[in-house]
Amino acid sequence: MAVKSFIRSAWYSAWLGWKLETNWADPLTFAGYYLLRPFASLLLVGFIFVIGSFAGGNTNTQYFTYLFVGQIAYVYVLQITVTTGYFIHEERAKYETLRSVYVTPTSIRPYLLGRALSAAFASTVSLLLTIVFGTIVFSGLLGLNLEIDLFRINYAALVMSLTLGIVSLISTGFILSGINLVSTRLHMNLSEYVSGIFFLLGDVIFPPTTLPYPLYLISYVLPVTYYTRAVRASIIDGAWDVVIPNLQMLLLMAILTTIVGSIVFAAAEKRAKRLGVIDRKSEY
Amino acid sequence: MSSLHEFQVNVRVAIARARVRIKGTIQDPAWMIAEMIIPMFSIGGFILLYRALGAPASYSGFVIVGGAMIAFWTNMLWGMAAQFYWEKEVGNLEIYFVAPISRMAILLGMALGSVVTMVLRVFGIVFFGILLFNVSLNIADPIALAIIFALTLASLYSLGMVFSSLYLLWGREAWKLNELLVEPTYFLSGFFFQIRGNAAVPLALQFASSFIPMTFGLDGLRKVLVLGQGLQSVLLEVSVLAAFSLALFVAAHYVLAYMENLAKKEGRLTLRWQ
Repeated sequence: MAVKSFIRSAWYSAWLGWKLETNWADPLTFAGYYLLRPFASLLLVGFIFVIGSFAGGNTNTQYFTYLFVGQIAYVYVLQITVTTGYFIHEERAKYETLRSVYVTPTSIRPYLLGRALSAAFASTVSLLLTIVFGTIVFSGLLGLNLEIDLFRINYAALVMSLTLGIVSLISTGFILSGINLVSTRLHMNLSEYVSGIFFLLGDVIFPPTTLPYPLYLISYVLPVTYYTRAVRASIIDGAWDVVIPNLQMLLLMAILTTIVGSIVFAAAEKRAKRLGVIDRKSEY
Repeated sequence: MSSLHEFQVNVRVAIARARVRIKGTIQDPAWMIAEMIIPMFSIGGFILLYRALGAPASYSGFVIVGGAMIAFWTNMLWGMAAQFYWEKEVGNLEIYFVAPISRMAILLGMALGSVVTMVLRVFGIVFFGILLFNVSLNIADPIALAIIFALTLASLYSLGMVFSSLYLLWGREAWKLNELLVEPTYFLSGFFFQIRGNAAVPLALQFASSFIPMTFGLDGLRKVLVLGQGLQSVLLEVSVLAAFSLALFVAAHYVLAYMENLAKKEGRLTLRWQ
């Protein structure tokens, strides 16, 4: 019964999140919005590659494919991190509904989970549109050979990688929300810090080993590193023997972040209640 | 109220609004530190990417310049254009409107306050960029740098005044528009690479980028900060930025009045949670 109630709350929360994200515009404008930001990020990185290669006199299309897939996978990372990082502030200070959530029979957990899932769904829309338009621009217009074979993609592994990646990212979101519950001014910076660290160290646009020692060691404990590698292996290589080691590490990371996320959120919630700061606002 | 008195009042309004912004930032050093550190992640990523591709060292300098100027672009978007949205949400907007002051004086105060705090942030980004990534800058003509920098900011904050008028009428729609002006502008204005006159960039993109004042500001800053060029080489950028500044400032006056009137007619001036 409790599980059923949890799922129902998460579902309605996801629906609410989706409405919040979409009901300000007609579907076409919404699609444009969800395409433009990630697509512009892909264009930015892609053109750095084009211009850097042009200036350096060397175009390595294998590296471009690596970079393209990494940037595409990062769409989920950014969207989920920002949504969950901003969630508490939005509920507490912007819409002033956090206390209303707390007086309902279900807890904030399914509510946060639902909102994160709606962000994941919105990211999927962005991801699909970005892949299509990115391929048209870079392969079609700029003539860069994307070394992706639609028949070689390991779709089963890709679905598993994305699912486990989303689990890890939502769990990371629980950590961010926990921190925001006991603080009032970190909401903007926190998600930016975390997504920035994930971008730099998560094997998104270059291998972390390019970074100086001991900085690159941090990448080994980031779930995003294994998520990006698993997605890349599923799309570019496709062979199970390449995918499985990455999937195993991602699974381990997903379990660990879920445990840590639950513990941190529970501890933060307990502390916030004890200090009486659940609905504390601080704006200036 | 005489014109002189009105002018004096508005100057005081701008100074007062600037003080609030400066004090707010100084009182929250964690925020300021965050604003220096956060851009370093993408700056670092792009510098390493250029190096991996074998691009000349000057490209790392371009990234530092672009990364530093992002501070002003985001500040214009969120600290100025969207400010009327915050004010509406917390209930201050109606206070501004019942006071006998110019909306532009308030916005000018926000801009002045931001420039003071953002310059500190820019110094931080450049300092950390040089320190961490061993990037060298080459300033041969400080006067050209000062002129280009001042004109870039003038055109940028005039554009912010125009954008701010949208928030008098809209809520989330304008918010989403602001979000849309982040990454797409980073790309289209060439924050991390030169767009105009670059053989690797399609002509259509170069043409589209010419409608954004920041493109010319970045071009000029790259020339005087990284490539060591002087005023003679940035005359085009100086002229275009001056024209943008003037045109946008005048446009802001009319657009603000028009949108205010429209928002009053539709009863949306103080509507929260749109």
